[in-house]
Amino acid sequence: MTDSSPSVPVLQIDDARKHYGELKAVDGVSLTVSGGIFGLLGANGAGKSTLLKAILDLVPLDGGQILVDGLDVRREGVAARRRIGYLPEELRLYDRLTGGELLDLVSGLKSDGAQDRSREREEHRMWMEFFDLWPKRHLLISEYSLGMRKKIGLATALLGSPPLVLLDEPLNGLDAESMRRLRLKIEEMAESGTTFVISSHVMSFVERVCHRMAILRRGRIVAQGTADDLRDLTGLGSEPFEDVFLSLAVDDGAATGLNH
Amino acid sequence: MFSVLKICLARARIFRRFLIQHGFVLFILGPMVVGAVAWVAERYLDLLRQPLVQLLAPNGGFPDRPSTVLGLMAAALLWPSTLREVFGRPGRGQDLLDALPISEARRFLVVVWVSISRVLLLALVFGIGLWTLEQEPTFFSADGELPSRMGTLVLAFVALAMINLLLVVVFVPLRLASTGRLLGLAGVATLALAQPWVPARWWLAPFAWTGRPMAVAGSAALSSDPRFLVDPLAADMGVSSGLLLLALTVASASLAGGIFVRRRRLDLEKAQSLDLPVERRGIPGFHWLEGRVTLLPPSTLAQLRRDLLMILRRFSPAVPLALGLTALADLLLVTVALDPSLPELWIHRAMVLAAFVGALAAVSVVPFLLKEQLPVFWLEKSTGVALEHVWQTKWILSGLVVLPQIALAGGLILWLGPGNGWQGVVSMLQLIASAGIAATLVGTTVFEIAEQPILGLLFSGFVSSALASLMIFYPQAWWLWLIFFGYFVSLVAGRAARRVRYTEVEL
Repeated sequence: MTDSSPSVPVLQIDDARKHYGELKAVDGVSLTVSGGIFGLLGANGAGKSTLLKAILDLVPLDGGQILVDGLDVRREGVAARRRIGYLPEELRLYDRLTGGELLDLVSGLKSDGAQDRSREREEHRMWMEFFDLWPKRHLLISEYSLGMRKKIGLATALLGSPPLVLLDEPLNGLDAESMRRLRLKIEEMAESGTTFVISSHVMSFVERVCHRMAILRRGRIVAQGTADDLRDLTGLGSEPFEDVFLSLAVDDGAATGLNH
Repeated sequence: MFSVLKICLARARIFRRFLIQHGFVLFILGPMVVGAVAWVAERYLDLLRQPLVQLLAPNGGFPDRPSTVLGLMAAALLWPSTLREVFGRPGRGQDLLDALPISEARRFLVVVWVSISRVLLLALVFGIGLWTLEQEPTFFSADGELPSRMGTLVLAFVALAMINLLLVVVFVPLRLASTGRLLGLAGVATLALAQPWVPARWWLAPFAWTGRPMAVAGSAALSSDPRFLVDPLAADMGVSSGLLLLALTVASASLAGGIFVRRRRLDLEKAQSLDLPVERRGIPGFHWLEGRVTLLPPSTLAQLRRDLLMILRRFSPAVPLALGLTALADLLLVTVALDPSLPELWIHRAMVLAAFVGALAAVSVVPFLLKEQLPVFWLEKSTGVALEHVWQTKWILSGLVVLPQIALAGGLILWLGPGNGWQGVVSMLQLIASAGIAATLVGTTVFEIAEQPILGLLFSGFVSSALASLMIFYPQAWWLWLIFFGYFVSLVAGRAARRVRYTEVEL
């Protein structure tokens, strides 16, 4: 999967800007993602989560434009958001609903007309079994552990097979086995045409999964490309990817002029 | 002692930031809305004064009944904050202070100081409110007794806080401490007080004492003469009673301290799970209904199901409180209906008014529900649901939650109302219209008021009360009511969609 497809890109960001007073959370970001798995990297406060929220119009931009499947998220927000699945970093859920009821709610919210209840139930079961939540479907979310909450959050994001899935720190709280299964599922879905934009601090996961990635620093993209491109840029060919990331995202001066 | 001071200062800083953040609402908007509501409520009090007095008046069985009822109500209102202060917020995990090397005795001192500061502030607000409520300024000016009266008021509030503290540390191990259960207990005790043949209950005496200053406020609200019901400050609270109350306060604090130091850590787990939902009660038949109701979009039905489930599972103390207030309004309705001294027309008007107050209480859960849901609002926004469906759902929900009250109160009006059946039908129609106003105004303005539900409810209550009064007292001007109603709905509906769009997502 590459972003060289001649068709409309799944996600196109042009000169996106979001300022909070003096703080420039997103500062003139331009990005095109046409498929595959795209990594959004950066230190804490670099603007990753703000950018993901801006893609959903949860945070209104001060300037610039974001298109999802060619739809402007400001002007055609409802239609654009129907094409997106989203997992926020800080996951807040309805504690007084059971896991099964939460998926029912999300299916209802995503439904744009006639509902096929039996197909929905099948899909709910499929995702709950995938995340080992099926035996716990009647438990209230307040009774879920951190890992279970993350899994039910992932299920809500992947429900309905949206063409674009935004995952903000999807690995927090997951055990090693769940991480591996999630990675394989993401790769499988990406092969079938789903586009992922993933923000994560787990560098080994990012290096292994993401086809392309962008590194944000103080709201600006300082570098983007494949993992190998970034290694070449920094001249850290044989070093761990974490060092590559640190040299671009944290070290002042190292990244100057690296933006492609 | 240094750590106690540091923690108290940190709490004071948090409170100062809260005041700065909500300054406009607390000091400008709030008093304006409260004043407007008081202006409208005056009319109600004229009509409902006699039945209220009948409900609260002392009798031979328990002479301090009004004070006790008010004391119990104040205890129930203070309960959630005291519980939070002692054991932390249920379901939010361990308090950071528990992981620090601070002794339980020092933690208790912090709780005591914070509780006392809070009630002193309340006493001050209460005192000012009392002063403004009394048409004859007897409270502050009578016989130059201001210091002693203010002292009594402060002592009563501190006593209430310490009794609350004791109840929290005793009730938590007994699993009696959830807000719903406590309100239930308060309700049972209040009803028990209404039975004159049950002997005086010594264990309610602390509530009677601490409720006395509040009884003065109640009587001041009901009548220009503050001695209308009881005059506890002047008549009953002498030096010996004051000393007794002081002794009770010290004893409660000492006992609470002892239990706190020995048991708090053992009871933390029980307290943490207190107000968390344990019920998974569903709505039978809703799925079946969802498949057949085609008038509403699936996203609206899904949201309605979620909202009703959260209410059924008591998402907050607002639910039992609303239920209790609705029951109280219906009790008032029955009292009015059985009052032989009122003319027939006025009985019908008072019954509709009481039923309307009950509907307003029932619909008051909706803004609290939205406040609870706002942190999860990202889910609605990110799934691409049409935003007009979001506020329309709350409008429909408001209608649904007042339906049981319309059915119950309407049945009571038709059953108990004097005169011919026609008058009953007219009253029933007035009830439907006035409850509809309450549901519509709260439902359509809910996104305006979710951040400040109490203030928002006061505003909605003010406007809907004005419209309901027009309907009840001047039924011949129904067309005028219709114009006002239509105007308000068009005004708020236009804003609602925009408001939903710009409601911030907390992430």
